[in-house]
Amino acid sequence: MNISRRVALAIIGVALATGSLAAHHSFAMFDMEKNVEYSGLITEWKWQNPHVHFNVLVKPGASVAPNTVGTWDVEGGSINIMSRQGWTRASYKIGDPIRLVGHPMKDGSKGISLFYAIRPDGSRLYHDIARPKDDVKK
Amino acid sequence: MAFFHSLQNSAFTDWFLGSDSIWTYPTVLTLHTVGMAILVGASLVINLRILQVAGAIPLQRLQPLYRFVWIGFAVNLSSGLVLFVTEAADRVVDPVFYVKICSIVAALSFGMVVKRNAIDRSDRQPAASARSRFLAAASLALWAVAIVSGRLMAYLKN
Amino acid sequence: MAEFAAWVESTAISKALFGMSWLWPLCESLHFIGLCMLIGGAGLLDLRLMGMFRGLPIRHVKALMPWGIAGFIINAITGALFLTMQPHLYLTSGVWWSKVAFIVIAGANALFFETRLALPALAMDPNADTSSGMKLVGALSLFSWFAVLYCGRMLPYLGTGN
Repeated sequence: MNISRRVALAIIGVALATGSLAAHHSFAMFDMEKNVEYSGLITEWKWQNPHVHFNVLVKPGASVAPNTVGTWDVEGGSINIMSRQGWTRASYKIGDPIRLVGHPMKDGSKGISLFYAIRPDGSRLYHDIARPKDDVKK
Repeated sequence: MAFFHSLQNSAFTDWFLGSDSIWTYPTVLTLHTVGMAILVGASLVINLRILQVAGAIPLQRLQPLYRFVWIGFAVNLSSGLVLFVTEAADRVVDPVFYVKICSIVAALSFGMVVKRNAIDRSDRQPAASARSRFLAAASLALWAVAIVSGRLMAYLKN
Repeated sequence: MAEFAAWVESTAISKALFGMSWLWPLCESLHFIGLCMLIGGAGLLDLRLMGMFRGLPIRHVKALMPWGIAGFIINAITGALFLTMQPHLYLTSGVWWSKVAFIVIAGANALFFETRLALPALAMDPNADTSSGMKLVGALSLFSWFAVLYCGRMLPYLGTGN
């Protein structure tokens, strides 16, 4: 095996191994009309610009919708946008349980565009200024 | 590779991407766009003139535009390095990133050949040669490739 | 505005455009290319009006203007597409309205130049210094276009959206 092929294989190997789930998706890749609720555990937490990303592991269970089971890459907005909605770097950490509502990817892959998280007291942490119809302004 | 991972996972990256100040990532990203507008804008004018757009402009008069080319390039090289550090491990395995870098190197090199052959010698040879015109057109196309691949990097990162 | 944005998003045209997942990144790329054409095409004239590139006749520089205008048109079209697809990101954002205001300022400034200053500028001795009015118009033009760029690029951080 010559050197260049070895280098090429090494690069491909590393690419596969490091392939993070943090690719930014065009909004158009999500089904923005579908609001799905997910409950799981945070397994990765990236409080970063340009887009906040975190992974949520949804385990199968009696009260869990089967189509929500799995590890999901949740994409939020810029941290500046999310900070204005009340989010902080410390809002969640790895291992925390989370309930969230998001828009799933149209192609069925495990990506979600964050709509809002539901905190234990029932209040909502929104991704951005968009609000659902059931959000009553106080 | 470990080196690129250490850059991407450094305390600097954590601070730079994780700060909610607009003076870190958002400002450097915006500077990268300002630099692009200056660099590509000035290159566009020079290359268009080589291609006989605004053909009445004496080629030699465009020489001061190279100052803007280099200012734009300096802004984008420095802002680009900072942005690269924060995602170094993702980028070194990203083919789109290499497409962008190669297009920039080629577009600049072609631009420099055009400068040497057409602009610097325009006192003796006022019209650009067919070769210079080909290189100017190629340089313009390469800038477009650099811009598109730069934008797509955000989507194809994986 | 929020209600209007919601209405636009509920229309078939908005949904159809937004449904094409390649359209958004394509428009973003074209928006950057149009920006470079606009800054390149208009920028040299602005610098010349500010008194740089002395010796270069203004009427020769003006021949680049169609490229600046073409860049503006590309960006107006792609911008209108962003607005049709996701109006809520823009219509309720003060930063986006500032961007619109700077476009209006740049446009009014260009119109003022065309109607009041273009004739004397074109007739000028290429080696003479430009008038202070021309310098102001050139500087305001450059400033407004870069302010438009700033508001647009900073929108996901200062205002809202993605």
